[in-house]
Amino acid sequence: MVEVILDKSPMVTDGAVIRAMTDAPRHVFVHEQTRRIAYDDTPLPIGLGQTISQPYIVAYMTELLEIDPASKVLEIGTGSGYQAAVLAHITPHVYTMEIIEPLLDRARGLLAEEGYDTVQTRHGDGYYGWPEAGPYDAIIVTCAAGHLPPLLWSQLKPGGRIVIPIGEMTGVQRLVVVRKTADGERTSRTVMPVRFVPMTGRVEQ
Amino acid sequence: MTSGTGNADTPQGFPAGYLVRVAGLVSCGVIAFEIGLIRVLQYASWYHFAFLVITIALLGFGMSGTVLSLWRGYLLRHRQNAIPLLVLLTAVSIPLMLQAAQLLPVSGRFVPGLVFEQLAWWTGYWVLLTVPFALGAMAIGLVLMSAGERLSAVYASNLIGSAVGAIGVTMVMYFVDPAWLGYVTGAVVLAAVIRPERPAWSAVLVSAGVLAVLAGLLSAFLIPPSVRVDDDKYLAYVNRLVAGGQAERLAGARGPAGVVEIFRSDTFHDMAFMTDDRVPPSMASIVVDGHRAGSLLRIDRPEQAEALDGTLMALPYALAPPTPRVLLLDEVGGGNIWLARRQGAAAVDVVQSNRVLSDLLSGPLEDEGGMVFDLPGVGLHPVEPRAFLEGTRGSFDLIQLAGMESWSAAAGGLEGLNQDHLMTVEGVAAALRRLSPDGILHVSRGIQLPPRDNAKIAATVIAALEQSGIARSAWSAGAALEQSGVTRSGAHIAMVRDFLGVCTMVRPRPWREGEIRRLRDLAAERNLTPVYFEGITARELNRPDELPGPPGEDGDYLYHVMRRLLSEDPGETARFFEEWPFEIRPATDDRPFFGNFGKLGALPDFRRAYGAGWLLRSELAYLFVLSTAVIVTCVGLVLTLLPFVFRADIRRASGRSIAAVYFLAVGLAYLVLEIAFLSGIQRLLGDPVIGGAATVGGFLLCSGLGSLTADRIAGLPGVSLARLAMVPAVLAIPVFTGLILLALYGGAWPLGLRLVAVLVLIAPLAFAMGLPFPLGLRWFGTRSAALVPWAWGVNGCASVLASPLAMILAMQWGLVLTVTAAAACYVVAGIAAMWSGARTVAS
Repeated sequence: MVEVILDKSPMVTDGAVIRAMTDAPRHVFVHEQTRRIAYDDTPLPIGLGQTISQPYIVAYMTELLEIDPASKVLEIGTGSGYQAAVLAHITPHVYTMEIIEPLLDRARGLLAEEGYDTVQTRHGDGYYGWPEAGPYDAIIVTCAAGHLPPLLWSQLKPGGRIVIPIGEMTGVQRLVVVRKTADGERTSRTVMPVRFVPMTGRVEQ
Repeated sequence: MTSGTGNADTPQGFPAGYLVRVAGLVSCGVIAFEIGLIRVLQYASWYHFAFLVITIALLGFGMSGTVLSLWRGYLLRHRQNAIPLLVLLTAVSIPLMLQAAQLLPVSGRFVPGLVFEQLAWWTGYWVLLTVPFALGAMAIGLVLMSAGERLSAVYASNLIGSAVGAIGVTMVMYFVDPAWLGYVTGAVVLAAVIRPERPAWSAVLVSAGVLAVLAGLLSAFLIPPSVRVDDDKYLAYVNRLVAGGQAERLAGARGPAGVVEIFRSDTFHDMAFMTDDRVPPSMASIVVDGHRAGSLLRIDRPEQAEALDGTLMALPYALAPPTPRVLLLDEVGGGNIWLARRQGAAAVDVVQSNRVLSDLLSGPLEDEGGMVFDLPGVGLHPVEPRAFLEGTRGSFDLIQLAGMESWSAAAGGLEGLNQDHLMTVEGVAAALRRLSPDGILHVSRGIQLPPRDNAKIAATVIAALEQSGIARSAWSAGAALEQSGVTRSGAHIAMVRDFLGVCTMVRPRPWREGEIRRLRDLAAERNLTPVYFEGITARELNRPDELPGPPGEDGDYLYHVMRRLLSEDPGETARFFEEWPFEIRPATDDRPFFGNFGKLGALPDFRRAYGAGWLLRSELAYLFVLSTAVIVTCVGLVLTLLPFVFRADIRRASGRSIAAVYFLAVGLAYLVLEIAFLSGIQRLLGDPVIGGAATVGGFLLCSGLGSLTADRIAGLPGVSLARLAMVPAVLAIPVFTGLILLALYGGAWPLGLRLVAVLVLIAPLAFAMGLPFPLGLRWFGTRSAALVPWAWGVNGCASVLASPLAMILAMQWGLVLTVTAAAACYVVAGIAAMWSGARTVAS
């Protein structure tokens, strides 16, 4: 009974996601002092109270977005830039926003150095989204949110998905997939418990 | 052995009053530092690390016993210089070590790959903070060893000084920033350096002290004392926004209940359980002790708060009587007041126990949205919610447990040690009694996976309905009962959710068919997912929001929880409580730990399911605290045993084993009793700060008086150490029962009267608790002087163990059994004294 309730994590099965995870160099995006454990399945600190996500979660959130090369994706919370790099291996239409400017500057530099030229970056409050570039097929939020930002919802195409961790900033959250039906209705599904660092942080399972 | 001073009035050559003064001032400063340090850590770090302060402080006391035992002869020979020097070192080390600790990069968030490095930093942090406690305890211990005939007076001064320190620092916290508490408490200890009868010596020490103070002030001027806030705390995030020009600090205030800070930023968007398509208005963020406590909407008219209509909390208004009278318990930022005004509430009573916060919001922040607390028809009550419920005669159409409107009670179980007297069966029953006949009690809470908070809320509500006599469990509510007007619990409850949270609504009478129809319509209209109400169908469950549920069953796990809690099978609920991976049995006044969800038995399953993440997921993170406390206790025990290895006089001392049992029992009993009483007194007085000060101050002060008169009592005919040690055992349970009765019948009395009643009630017990230690010290000391410092160490170690032990006992078996366990310890002490042959104390 207990083992059923504490369900095991689902597997990542999408071939494109697995290839993207294989090709994106995680060691580049972590700090020098944690490079030796860059490919461990664990989140790592990147400074300013932020961490780079656990690889499994990066992969699984990417799979939940259900994107293909034609999809336009918005990422809220650039952080280290690693998630944007993974997305860029699947689609050239990646837009990413970060509220902490020093963090964005670092990520911009790393993405440019590694040749991720298609990734568009912007400094700003992700709560309001990036309306000029929208609407999006998928939106990925990589910071804990107390509610679904209304403007992100309005920037989502009918049939689109938002993958968002819902809950307390400093505790355990739930990873929720919110879908906009063809007629604009909202349905949602909780996928698994996750844990984010506050606001602009990254996630671990 | 006596010094050359001519005015000595003790065999050790110290002047009258000197040892008494040193014991009092050092105890005062050290206890004040201990409580101040708890405050500093609550602000800078996490609650559980603050809890560890008690352990660390007492370890310092245990260590002092080891040092005093090992170097007893040397220290006694040089006590004329050693005591003032130890006092000086204590005074200087308090601010110095506190500041040094701030330089270490400790973090409450353990990263799997870096755990050992992080633990090393934490070890260094605690070692630094142990130093002032060890030095202070050595000073007090040496004073006790030097006291001779004045032992009882010196010990009394130690206790009374501790009482003054505990109460004094509580007052000081209103005026002094946490970062400066080290300097303030260090200064109190420094006052003990002065010896008027030895001007030269005093001059040297005072000069050294003044130099230290000047150096401290200079360094404080160059690098102002500061407290490093953990990078993962909300405050650290806000501070980064402030540094980047994206946020502004509007106001702040401090008090013993916490440091309250208000920040404004365009990047704040926190609105609980909102699924509206409208963007919330501009808001400020309320931060209490570094944690986000709520949002203050920067508006001045209800029309500006239309986004609130899209929250879960708006739903009960559509089901309550029109123009309801509303009670908001533990409301923080006033958002629910705006909602009540928008929904046409006739009157709104707001209960907020944090007086510093309510003063700030309705004072300096009035123009930033705080004026919502002063709107016509809004009454603000700065008391604990439970105390308000016990004291009011009003009845309300809507009672909202606004303090529960967050995501979860327990950050991985770290909040499991917190006591909450509202979210108990008795607390919820008190709220149900204050409902009008058609009223609704409602609480909205974030969804957890698997369910725990909302499951425990449901279990608590069901138990409260049954305890109040409003309803009966399904299996006992047979036809006969229904005829007598008693209904099934499930008929009183309705639960709906969205993808953010769950709203639980309870009526004092069963929901009517028309009301359930209306609820169904509202759920469809607002895109909500029904969880439970009588008559719910399978096709209504788990849509439009889908949550995981049991394989092969309709609905999500929360529906499963409700089904089993309301089962018609008499044994089903008990089986369910056993099976569920979290502790969701309702909290009671005897075990008021709503946030305790951890279950040791489920640990292997969590380890299998979550691997390295088991600790956070299992809600057993408090085990980390408790196990650390136990490890520290083991260190203390090793330190206590060291003198056996190195000191032949202790090894050969007559009655050493019995002395160890005696002081271990007395040390355990004192703190376990105090911690158990703290809970009951805080509930009765309705204020954690006043309750804490009354408990610590009351116990120490009365015990001090007991110690002061110990010699006279010991001289009475027929009095023996064994009998005196058993007096607290006899008194403890009746006094605790008196406290429960007082809370039951005197909860509505004026605060002053309740305070006096508490002090009168505990005084005889606390007085008796002040006798066993000094008299035992004297008795065993007469058999072997080497046992005195060693007993001091054993007592310190017992106190270290007592704080986590009291918490474990209270959480597992309740407060009454905790008091019983403490009483049993006094019985053990009495038997030990009997075995040691202490027929009379005077002997």
